[in-house]
Amino acid sequence: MSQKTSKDAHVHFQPDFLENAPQGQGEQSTDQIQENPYQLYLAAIVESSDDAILGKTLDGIITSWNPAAERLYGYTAQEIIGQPIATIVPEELRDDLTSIMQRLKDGQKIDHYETTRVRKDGVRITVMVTISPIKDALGKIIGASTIGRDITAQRKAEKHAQFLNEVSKVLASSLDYQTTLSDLARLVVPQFADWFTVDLVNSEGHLELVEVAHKDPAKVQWAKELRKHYLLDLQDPNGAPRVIRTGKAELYAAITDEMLVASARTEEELALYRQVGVKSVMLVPLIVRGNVFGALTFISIESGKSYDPADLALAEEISLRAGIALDNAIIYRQAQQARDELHAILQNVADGITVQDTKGSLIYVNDVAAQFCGFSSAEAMVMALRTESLTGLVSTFTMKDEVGNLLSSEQLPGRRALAGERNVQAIVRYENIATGQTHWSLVKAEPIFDEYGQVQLAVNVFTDITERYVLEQRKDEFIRMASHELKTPITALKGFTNLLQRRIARQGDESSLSFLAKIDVQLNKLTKLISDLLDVSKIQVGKLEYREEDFDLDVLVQETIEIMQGMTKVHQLQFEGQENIRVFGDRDRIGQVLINLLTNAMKYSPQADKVIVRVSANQEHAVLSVQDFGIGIVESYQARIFERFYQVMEPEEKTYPGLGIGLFISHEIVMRHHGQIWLESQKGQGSTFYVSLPLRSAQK
Amino acid sequence: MNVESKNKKILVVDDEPDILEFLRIVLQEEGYTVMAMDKVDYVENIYNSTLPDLILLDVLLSGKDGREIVKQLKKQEETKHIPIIMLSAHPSAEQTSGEAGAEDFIAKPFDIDFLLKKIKKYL
Repeated sequence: MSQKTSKDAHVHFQPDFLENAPQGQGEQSTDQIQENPYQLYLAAIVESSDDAILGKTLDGIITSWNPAAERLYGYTAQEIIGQPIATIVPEELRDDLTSIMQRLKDGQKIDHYETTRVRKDGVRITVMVTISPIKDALGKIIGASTIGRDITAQRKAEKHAQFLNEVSKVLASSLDYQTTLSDLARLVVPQFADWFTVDLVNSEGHLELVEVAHKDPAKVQWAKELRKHYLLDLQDPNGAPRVIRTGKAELYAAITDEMLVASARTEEELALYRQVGVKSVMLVPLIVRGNVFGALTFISIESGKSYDPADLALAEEISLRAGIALDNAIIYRQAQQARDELHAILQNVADGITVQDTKGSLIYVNDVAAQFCGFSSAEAMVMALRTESLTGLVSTFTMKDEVGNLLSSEQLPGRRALAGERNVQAIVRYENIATGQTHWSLVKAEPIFDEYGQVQLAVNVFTDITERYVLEQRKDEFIRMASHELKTPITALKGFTNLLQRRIARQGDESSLSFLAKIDVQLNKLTKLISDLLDVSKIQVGKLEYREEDFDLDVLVQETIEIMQGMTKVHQLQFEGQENIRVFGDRDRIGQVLINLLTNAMKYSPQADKVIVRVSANQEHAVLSVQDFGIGIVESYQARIFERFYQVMEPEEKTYPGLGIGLFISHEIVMRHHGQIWLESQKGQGSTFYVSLPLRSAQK
Repeated sequence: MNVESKNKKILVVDDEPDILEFLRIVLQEEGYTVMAMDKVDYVENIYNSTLPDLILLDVLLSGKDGREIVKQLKKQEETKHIPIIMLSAHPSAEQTSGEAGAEDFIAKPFDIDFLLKKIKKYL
């Protein structure tokens, strides 16, 4: 092989398998080429190869250099042929070169060797080389061919992918804001930057340095101090503030002194910048859901690394992932904060609060609820629940409704909410089996649905109303005693009145008899008032007695009208309707409802001369109505008219006396008969009250 | 005066003297022989005297529950056939008096005619 340098020497090539090839391609004549077409082909292949192909002597002097080698290393063939191969080998790898040359002399081939080379412009590149010995016709090794391929981008991409993978792992490993940032910083420095800062826009809108990492740990503090000294303002024209404002990443591959001069605000700052010796910088915004909330700054100093667009792409990718991780951390922190706040609120309310899952297991209980169940605190109850089931705990209570009927588990408010019922409200009587203590609780339960409308949880709120209940009971007991005490003298009064009526009837004194009849009527009214008061208090504790039997509603209505007619001369009580309407229930109580309705009808229609009572029946219900032609009821009062002690507070109505309990009692009685009571009325047009009761034949 | 009521003896027990009084007068006017008691001591020893044909008994007698007396009377061979009508201003006593064994119950206050009708039912 010729070692001569010539202008057309860029196709110096002599692979070892062409043992017969003449040496010194440059000296070959056209005839020779024609004689050996292989050489032409080879020359064309080498010329057009994308791989850098070069030849060298055993002394390491470059003898051939193809166009791809020119592109890869930056030297032209003219420049490099005749120069030592060490020209493109970094200083620290020169020793390796010597050993490679030795191996070649021994006839060894060096296959796919990854190493670093230095381009003409000083940039280091990663190459994959295969070096083969070249023998002459006699088989003597006279040089070597090197095929090199630039794998810088490939290696860099691999390194970036691996790095990004590490970043992702680190970002995913913590939900704590500060930990996430510190872990990220530790990874970025030294692998990707010599100096790394994270700035976030804080709640006041100021830029806050939240993380600093430096290749030299001793300089971390220095870097922090530096930032304290040269505070960054969001309005600053350059650097992180600008990136945050624009939302666009910035790459400064090489920092020039002009740039330092341009960005320094003071001479002192400029001196400092020069002293630090920044080589290359990347600024990347932290963006989450369209909002820029900070910036990452990657700085290269000592390593001399110059960032390129691929690095910037990686930095942006890091920023994207960090943004998501930080957002998660923020959301998590907010959720935790919200949970803590909620917990603090729930622990400090006077009501017991529990949350059940669909299996009925308690997943939350506050102190009040736990104490109600006999535990010192919510924690103690949660501990106990680990070893014992909720049913085991709850079985220490007998749960009854307001009037003392045992509640099945399906009837418990929490279970009803889990079954999908909203706004569950019930008074539950909890009787502790062990201690015998009784508590009354107003229990409110609410289901919580998932996005598919399935019940996931039930929230129960228990308000202890024991004190109120005991007071109410005492009051009811008082009313019971009072009514008994009031009725005893009435019994005597009525007895002697009846006695006098019998005697005077025998004497035939009609006028005295009519007076006595009035006393008797008034005594009956008094008795009814007392009975109504007693009924109200009994309804409160669910102790209103009912005696159920089959009876003809029309007969009851006609009898009642007859009695009531005897008490009024103002109104004509008219009956309209069917016969043989058979219902099942308490005849006296239904009679009581009719008496109440008739009493009201007459009371509120003093100017009218009639009240119409109608009885009818359809397939399932008997309907009784009482129509008056009196003052009527304004619609806004109609909804509340069946409430206890409720009276319409219109100036005119106030002149009508009463306790406001008749309709309440009637409503209660009708409800207990699974019926309905309602009204139709207009101010000044009179009122019609309706009562519907299930027919005997329609009942199971 | 009712002929059928002649010779029928009614024991009336109530701790309120005025109630006892009008009951005694009305029942006597109706021709019954009335033994009116405001205490229960006598009732407890009733088997020693002439037995009544009917008893009107208040539920709550000062210091004694009328229903206990009913139970006792209904236990004794000599007295268990005697019909007992209990009286009370507690309407809820109707059920308990029936459970104790009383034949009937009348809520106080009541119409005399209503009472007389009930008595006739048993005599």
